[in-house]
Amino acid sequence: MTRKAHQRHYQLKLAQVSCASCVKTIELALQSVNGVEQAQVNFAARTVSIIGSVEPKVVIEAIQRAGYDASLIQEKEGEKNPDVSDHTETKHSRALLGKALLAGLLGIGLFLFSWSPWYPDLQTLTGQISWGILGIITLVALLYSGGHLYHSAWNAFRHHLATMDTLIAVGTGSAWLYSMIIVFRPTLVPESARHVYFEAALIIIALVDLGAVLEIRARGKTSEAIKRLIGLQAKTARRLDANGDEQDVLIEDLQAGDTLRVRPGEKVPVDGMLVSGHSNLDESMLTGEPMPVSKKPNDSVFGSTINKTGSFLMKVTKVGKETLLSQMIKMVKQAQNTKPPIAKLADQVSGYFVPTVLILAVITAVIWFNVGFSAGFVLVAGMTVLIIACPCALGLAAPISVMVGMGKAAEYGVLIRNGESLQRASELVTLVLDKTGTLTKGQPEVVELITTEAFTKTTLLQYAASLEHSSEHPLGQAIVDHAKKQSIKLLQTENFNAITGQGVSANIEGKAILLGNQHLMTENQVALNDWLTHSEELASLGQTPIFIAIDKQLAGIISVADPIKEDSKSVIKQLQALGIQVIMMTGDNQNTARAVAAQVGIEQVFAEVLPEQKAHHVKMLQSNKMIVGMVGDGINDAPALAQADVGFAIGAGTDVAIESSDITLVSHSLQGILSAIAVSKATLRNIKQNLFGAFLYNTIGIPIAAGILYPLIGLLLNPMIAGFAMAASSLTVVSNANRLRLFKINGKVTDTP
Amino acid sequence: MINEHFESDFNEIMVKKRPPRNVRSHKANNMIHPILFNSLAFLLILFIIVWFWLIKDQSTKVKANEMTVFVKDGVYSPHRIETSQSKLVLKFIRQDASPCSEYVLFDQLGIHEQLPLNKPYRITLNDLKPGHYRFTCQMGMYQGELIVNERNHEQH
Repeated sequence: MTRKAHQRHYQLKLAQVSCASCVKTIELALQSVNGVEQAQVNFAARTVSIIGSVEPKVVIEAIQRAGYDASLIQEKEGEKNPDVSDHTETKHSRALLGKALLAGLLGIGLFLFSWSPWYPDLQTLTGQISWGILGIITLVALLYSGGHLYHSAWNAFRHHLATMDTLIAVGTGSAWLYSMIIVFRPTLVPESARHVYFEAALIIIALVDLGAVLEIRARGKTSEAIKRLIGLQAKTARRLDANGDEQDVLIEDLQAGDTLRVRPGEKVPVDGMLVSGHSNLDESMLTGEPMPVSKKPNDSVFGSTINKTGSFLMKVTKVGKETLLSQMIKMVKQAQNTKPPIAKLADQVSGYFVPTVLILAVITAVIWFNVGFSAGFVLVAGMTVLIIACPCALGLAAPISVMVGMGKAAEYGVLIRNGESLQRASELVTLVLDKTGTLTKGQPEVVELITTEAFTKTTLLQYAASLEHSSEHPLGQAIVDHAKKQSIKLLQTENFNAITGQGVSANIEGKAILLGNQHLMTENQVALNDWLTHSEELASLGQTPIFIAIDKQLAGIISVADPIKEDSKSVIKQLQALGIQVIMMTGDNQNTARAVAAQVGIEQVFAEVLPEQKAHHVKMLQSNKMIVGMVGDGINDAPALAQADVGFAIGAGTDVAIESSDITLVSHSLQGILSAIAVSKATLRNIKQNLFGAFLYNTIGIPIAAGILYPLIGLLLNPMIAGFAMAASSLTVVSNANRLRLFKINGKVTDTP
Repeated sequence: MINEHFESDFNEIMVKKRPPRNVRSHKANNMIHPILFNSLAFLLILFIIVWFWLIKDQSTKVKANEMTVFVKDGVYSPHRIETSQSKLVLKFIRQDASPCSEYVLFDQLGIHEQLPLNKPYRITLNDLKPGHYRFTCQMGMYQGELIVNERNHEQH
């Protein structure tokens, strides 16, 4: 293998690694190797994964110098990288489970023991000694099972911080301490209150550990979407060398400019351009659209999509982090960790939550003490307050739903920049749609050719195409394409002149040809007569009529139209059904604009809007305090996309659009807008449920734990029940967010056969 | 079970309005003097307020333009970072495997990063304006603060 300047990721199989301490030695040895960015040893699998610009050979030598041996693992297609972080997390949760089990079993044992005839009596000396021993055993178990909680609570305390762990540590710690005092000085409290709470402390710790394990599991599912995207990446590619020989190479070794062969059934390895052959590609993994897309030479193909039918050659344009898939992964990852504004309150609360709960616990104790309750009651009430309070549920409510929601959106080919965009998309009042490239395909086609008797259609097209050959105007391009399709030979032009906003003029074979709109004709004194009504008729159909005059005589009209996307009408209908006001914006004249709008069912139109005015129109709508969305392809509406509360860039083609938009729709279909709105609404609903649940839980749970119901119905919460409720509350939040994974957008618009 | 234990308490205090033993004698049974208990509780509340809200940990000044932050045992250490530079690299080393510590968020700066376990992860902060920036884990339990001071001399 040749040395590459760019980063690589590979794995080595380790040999002669017998103890866990070898891991440190090897990692240290590798850190000193030049060019090794990251080296991580997986002891269980006896592998080391390397990230860096260094060759495997050098790394192997370094390992050998350290006294071990290693060999390169050749990755085969379909073989998955053992995910290192997954592995550590499993290890972590297994350890936690063991801790929960130990504390839980001991706690339940003590709990059941209270019915046994051998239950030690605190009134006797032997009873006191027995309890003393049990208390020490409890302490050891608490330190083993909850040591991490006590440690981190203490650590936080030293730094003047109070966390979730503080509550658990103070709660269980005071239960143990109180119990030990009772054991040695039972006379401190009345006989009826001489009870120890070792089992409560143990079971609470067990539940907290168990809750954490279940949370890790549930959390794993929340990132399923991103794992699915990462899993899409192809591993190898078939590269053609200078002689045209094919050779399998690793994706990491590809460079822009390489030519690759993609056979039917294979994954397109990276982004590129099809250079020869035809095929249908399944792009659903990126765009969410189930229909395969047909590809011909010069079309873009994207890595990780699947070649369904034909074999083709492609030229690599983007590799590594630059591919669409990598960009998607990066964007989803980023977005998954942002918070919508709705979560602000929970964030502000979280800073004050724990100290407030500590104070509430003290106040609870003070009240019960002064009413005259025994120390046992005072302790239980105060401790239960500490245990039941769950700042985690509150803090987790929004982020966990956002994580699932962003992943869900990606499944539908919708990339949402952040939590704020997500929330705004769910609150959209007005949606402005750019016409060209959004409602329409953005590729105008010649739909009609009308000539005077003096010229044939072919001649007319030949002149028009020859004239437009050097023009870059999309309408002109449509005429040239149309001529090419009919294999019409283009002629030489002289004195070519483009007149901005009007058309073009030139001489062909000594004839003066004019091609353009009505203005161009009238300014050059070309009589239009009854052709004007013709052209108005065409315009009313949403087409753009282009006049052609030869030697100041009108020769005909070429009518060009940008075809409307198949799903435009039904998507707009559904948007309107959601109560969203839909507006079309275009640079076209009023007549054409109205005609197109009517065809798709839009009533409100901003026509004849210059590109630089688009943002201004969006601003005007916003001044009415409306949440305005703007959909465009980003080609000349980037400022408007940026101005809108939610800018939707349609078709991930242009990087500019992705940069300036809040929501990127990977596919060109308008369906993505509906998906984006539906996912946003569902996610926001989920967040609200979570926030509501978490706030309600704490505002109801804490007073009940404090014993507010005791004077009424004689209920004082058992601290173990509080521990259960606390563990369940954050688990409920995570599980509720996981429900979002099952969310499906109903009523797919594209009923294509 | 717990309720049973307190039934006698309850009967004594709430149900028997005219107890044979007066309430004071019951309190005396607690063996803890009310004044002592209440003053201790008051001091405890005072301590909580002062310790967690009024006193802040000393901040750590950034000497070079890189600072290592350990994510471990419930706190970022250091968790109060002070700098007067506009560019700062924070090297996070996460040693806590619990899921809470997996992300670090600088909400005001729009930075949200996933921290790998036991591997250094660098976050580069550019164009820092003077001010206080909170950074937390997803749940706000890990808490830290980045303090960017006014610069004496304008850089660049």
